[in-house]
Amino acid sequence: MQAFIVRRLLAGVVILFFLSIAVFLVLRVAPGDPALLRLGPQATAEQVAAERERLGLNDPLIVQYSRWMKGVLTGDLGISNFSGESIARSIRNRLPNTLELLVMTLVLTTAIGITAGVISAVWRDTPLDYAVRVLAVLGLSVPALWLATLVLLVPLQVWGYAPPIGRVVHFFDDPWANLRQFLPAAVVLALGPAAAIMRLTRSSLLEVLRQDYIRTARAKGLGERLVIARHALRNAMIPPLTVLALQFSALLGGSVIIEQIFTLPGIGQYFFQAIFVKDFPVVQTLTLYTGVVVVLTILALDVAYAWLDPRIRYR
Amino acid sequence: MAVRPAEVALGMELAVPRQPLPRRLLRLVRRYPLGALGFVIILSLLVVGVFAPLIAPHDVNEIGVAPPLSGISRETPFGTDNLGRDMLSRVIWGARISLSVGFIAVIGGTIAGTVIGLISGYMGGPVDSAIQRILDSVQAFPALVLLLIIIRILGPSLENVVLVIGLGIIPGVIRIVRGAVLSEKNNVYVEAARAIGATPLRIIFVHIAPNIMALAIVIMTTLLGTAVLAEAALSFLGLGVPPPNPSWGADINAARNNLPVHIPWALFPGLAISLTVLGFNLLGDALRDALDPRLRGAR
Repeated sequence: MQAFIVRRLLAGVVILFFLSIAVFLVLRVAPGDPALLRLGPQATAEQVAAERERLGLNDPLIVQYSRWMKGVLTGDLGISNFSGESIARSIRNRLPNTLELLVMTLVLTTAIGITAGVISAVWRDTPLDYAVRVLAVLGLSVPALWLATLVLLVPLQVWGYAPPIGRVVHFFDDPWANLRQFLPAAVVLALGPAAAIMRLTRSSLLEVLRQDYIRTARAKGLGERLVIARHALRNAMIPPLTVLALQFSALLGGSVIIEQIFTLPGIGQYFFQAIFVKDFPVVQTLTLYTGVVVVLTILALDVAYAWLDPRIRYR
Repeated sequence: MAVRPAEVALGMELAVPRQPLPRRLLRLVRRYPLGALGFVIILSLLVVGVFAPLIAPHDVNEIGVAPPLSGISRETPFGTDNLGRDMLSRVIWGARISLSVGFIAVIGGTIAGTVIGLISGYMGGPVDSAIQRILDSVQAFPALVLLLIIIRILGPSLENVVLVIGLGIIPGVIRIVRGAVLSEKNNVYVEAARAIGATPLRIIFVHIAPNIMALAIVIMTTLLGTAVLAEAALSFLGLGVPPPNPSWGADINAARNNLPVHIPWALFPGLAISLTVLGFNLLGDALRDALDPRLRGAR
């Protein structure tokens, strides 16, 4: 197991190396001079040249890349080209908000998705099953950006209600205000992934319930509840977990839109704003950062499979 | 009469004698009612998109059709936006943009992804590993953010939106097709083709590719929904299809940023997106049930 984790971590490093080179090169070949963007169109040619020199943009690419990498590895993430603020500090300020949103979303996704999937499989072909399946296909079809817009606009129109906007209230200062800020966003963000998890849990559980060992468990007189909870569910959980890993990356993408709509000052909003103003140092650092998070999450889920299914042995 | 492979792929069993077309259609509808519903939804939206100039009561950008922010009425069934443009006409024209972006991007992306997946899966070895490592790197990253970065660099235009969405779906298609090729290439018919001296290219494209077609059709249908959602997201964030083209996503964003709040403005473009994606999802589910016997009855 340890050898497996070490090998996967090494593979992860290789993946991140490619990712860093890709984003570095893409941003360098991009039209638009960061120095000019920073100074604005009224800057003189001399000012732009001096700014290019100051930002180190005249150095060979390999020098620029090693300078960036050296910074990343020593914890110096540099400063934003746009605001001049330390990227590390911005990440530190925004990370708790994104983490709260993602944790809430993941909990909701798993809770709703797996519960609905099990209900649907256990009461297969009943009206309950049909209702859950219709909701699931709707959940996959309705765009989160639209739902989020309506969640904000409808209460505003009908009751003149708006959630506290702008500054984030910390959970421990005022739990209720904090939940009013985060919960609607998390629910909207969770619906799509929850629908995907539900459908997969349902088909996976039905598949497992057809197997011989389930018949054996029933034949020896176990109650249906025990058969499903103890015997079937554990094996049925592997495909949904795989999809959860894939959904996690999609969640990070979705959080860009959702944080924007709900004006939650998180990493997603930071990322989008940096892309919008072509703030290259921030974009490349956040890209690498997101890559690290995704690689580690997928590794964690691979380890979770082994715990769920003892037949899976990593060498 | 010979049965063509395409008909086998569409789930019309070989052993059943050919029935007249209406009865066969009826049988399909009865067997996959939701799939038929999805098909009807998509067909209707295609008709609306193709004949938008004839159907839409007003031009997309005609200002002052009714007072700004009019509600639902006989003249403007979907209301108007802040410039008094008719939302029904904008939603109808939006279907044309949304569906053409979706279809072109997905057809292009699926063809490219299928070709690469076929080669990667059949060749194996260093080519395959190189492609897989590149995919790992790309997929270690949220697709939406990737699209945003690329389109910000290329600049938002209709062509670039199609291009990035097409590029965005390639990795997923390669993965799925490659997996199918790996199990397909151990079949006896591949062995036989190799024994009579067929070149690798011939084996890939003449022998294996037809057996992957059904899978490719299923992937394409599901991806069409994804592509429509992606276009809406890019346009919503202001990096998608630029004005004066109408876009459902851009209209929702405009409605969100406008005061006073006017619900119909945001409501109908979103309903249109949902209906489109729902149609593709229902059709995709039915096609998967029909074409992939392993999943039959499991869903």
